[in-house]
Amino acid sequence: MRTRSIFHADLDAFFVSVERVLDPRLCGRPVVVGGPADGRGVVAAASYEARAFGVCSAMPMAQAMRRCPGLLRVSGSHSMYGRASRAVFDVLGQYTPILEKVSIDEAYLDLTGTGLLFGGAIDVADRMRREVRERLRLDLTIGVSQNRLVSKVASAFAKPYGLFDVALGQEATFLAPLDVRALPGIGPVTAHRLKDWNIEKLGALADTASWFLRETFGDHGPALQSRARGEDDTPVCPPWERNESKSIGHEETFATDVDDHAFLRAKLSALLSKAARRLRKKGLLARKVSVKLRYADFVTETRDCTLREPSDLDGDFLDPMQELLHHMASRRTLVRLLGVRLTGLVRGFRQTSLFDAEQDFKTESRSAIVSAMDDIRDKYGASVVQSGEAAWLSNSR
Amino acid sequence: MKFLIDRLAFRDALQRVEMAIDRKPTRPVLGGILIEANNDSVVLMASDLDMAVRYRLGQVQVDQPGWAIVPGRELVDIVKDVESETVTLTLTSKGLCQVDAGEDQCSLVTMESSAQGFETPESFPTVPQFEDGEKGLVLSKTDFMLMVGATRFCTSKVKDTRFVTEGVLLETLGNQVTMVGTDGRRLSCIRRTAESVPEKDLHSVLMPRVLDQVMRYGQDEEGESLEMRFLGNLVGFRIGNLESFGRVLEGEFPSYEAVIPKGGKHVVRAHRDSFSQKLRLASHLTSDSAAVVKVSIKPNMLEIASEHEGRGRATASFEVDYVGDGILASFNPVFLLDGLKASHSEQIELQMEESSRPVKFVLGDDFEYVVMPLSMTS
Repeated sequence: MRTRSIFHADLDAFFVSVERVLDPRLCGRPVVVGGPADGRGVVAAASYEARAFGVCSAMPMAQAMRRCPGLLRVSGSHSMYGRASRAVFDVLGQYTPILEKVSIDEAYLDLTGTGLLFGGAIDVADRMRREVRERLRLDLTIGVSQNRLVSKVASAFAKPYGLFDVALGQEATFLAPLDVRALPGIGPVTAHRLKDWNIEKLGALADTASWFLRETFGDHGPALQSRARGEDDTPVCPPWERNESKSIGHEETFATDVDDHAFLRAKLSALLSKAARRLRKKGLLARKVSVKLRYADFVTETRDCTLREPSDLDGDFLDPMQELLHHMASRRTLVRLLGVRLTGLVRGFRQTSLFDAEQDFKTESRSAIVSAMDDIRDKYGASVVQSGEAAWLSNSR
Repeated sequence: MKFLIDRLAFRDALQRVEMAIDRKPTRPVLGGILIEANNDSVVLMASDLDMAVRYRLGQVQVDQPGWAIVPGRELVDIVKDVESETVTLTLTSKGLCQVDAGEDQCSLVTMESSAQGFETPESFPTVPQFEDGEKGLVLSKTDFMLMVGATRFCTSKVKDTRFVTEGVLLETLGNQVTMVGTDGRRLSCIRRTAESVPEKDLHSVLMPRVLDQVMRYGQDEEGESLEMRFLGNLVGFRIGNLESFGRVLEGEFPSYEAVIPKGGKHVVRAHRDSFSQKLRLASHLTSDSAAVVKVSIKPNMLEIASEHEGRGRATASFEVDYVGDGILASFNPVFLLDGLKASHSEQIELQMEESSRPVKFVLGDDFEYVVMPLSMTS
């Protein structure tokens, strides 16, 4: 196989770094981005100063505040992060078009065969980091190796503001001393089971007899082992080869658990209107709708229903969804989260109906109304035009 | 009750009533078959309350009259599997129905039985009688089969909230009988003349399941005509020895006449088989979740194009009889193929006003099929 050159680029404490660019007073102090401590705010990102106090992402804000006195909290603005992220990837995109963005602050790049053009991988990676730092004042860590898996581990290893190159053939040696948890794909459960067999380091996992892993973990076992040896040939998927999104959804965790059906119905309508608008933006139709409900005890229930014809109109989705919700919210437990999802996405054509023409409210006119509403929302904001239930919701707040 | 019967005739008779056996009976009798033996005939009956079937078998050697309700599924399966030429059914004194077939013997536990009297079984649902004297709707068997075949495939598989479109509409106006099937996206309508009609004009939506049963078994029955009777909320069909009853569906059927185009600017005459062959070809390159073919009509030429993103595209064309401007419309190929398959004539006619309006196919004498096109989303 041809030697590849795969980079994993990861921005350090991304949200916090962006906030620091906007407000330099935050530099050098423990900072977190996230919702307020009253209610259900959680830490979305923490600076390295805050992490020293044991604050980490997804921690409830109240707990973070207790752990780290003097912690500064910023609410954060996602649109700003989106802009910063795009700016960073624009810089990286100058080096290679084969760039796969995996989240707002991470991407894989394939620089195979660019040696003559840009020079050695280390040099290119270092230039990328310097360029991002000089132009955007953001810190970037890059892991370099000949596959995605090892590069990802290398960048996590090199953080913050690091650069780590795993030479060809040294993948297994590099991984061997690391804890099994360092390998993407090994979560707490697998790690715990491995520990039961006294396998704590990746080196030990790589050396374990494969029949034993097959016995213990089934078909997943040998795959786990080859990953522990640093073997991976997943290609970096450039944007033009990426499949179109398979589903569009929104969900919301409520500030306080609720048992009010009217509230849930209204919330459903509001979430759906967001999702349907995104669906229309992409020019897609959805054939299937699903509703997700999580109770206060974390029991989660999902139900779906297939429509007769794909549609992109809120009205076509709402009735079946309300019906689903009606059948679901049956436990006598408070509800914590509600989500909607549109799947079975297809592009292009809508089956017209024979008997709509008789009705006053044709699909065409409904479509026109919805698209006019979308235009208004684009211009004046999403909450300017709402469904009755969603409006009731925002008024009652 | 005791009778000797030809096994194959008995098996065929049981198959005719089988469709009315309730698969998940709420009461045991609904999963049973009522067997009545009297003089020289045996009558089989089954009912699941939505649908009922009565079948009369003549020329049976009845040694002892009587009746019994036996587990339906089991009896059907037993008679299917035994190998003898004849079977004997005997009601024993312990209330068992014994089936003797050559060297094999099975006995079924009856749900209710009577060895002598003809008092009707109380627990079994009433299956209506075709009483003589009343005037029903009489159609030639061939016409009836054609009409159901032309409309049944169009009916909706799911319940519509506004209209009752799961069934086939039957309407009479004077001597003329009309059947209509639709699922809201396509519609087929066929007319025939009845041999005799009831005094009052009819307008009822027939349950698809009973139509399927009559279609399947009515063909083999003796007699050239089929009689229909409307008995309350039931409709009964009689061909030869077979009597099937189904519920009339309640609700409003859409006003179909309004949506059938009266004619069109563009009239194309085409050969049915070339049309379906080209359509099938193009439909190989459509996605399963949203199949689309683009039909473009040009002078003397019909072109069908399709594309499956990431797989490829197809174009198929064939000669048609058409003069006029070109027109292009998109359709679900399944709808078009269904119609062509049901067509009665080799030459079909296609009438179209504009690409966003329904297209009408004339698929035989008084047989029209309307399909709504697909519209492009912005």
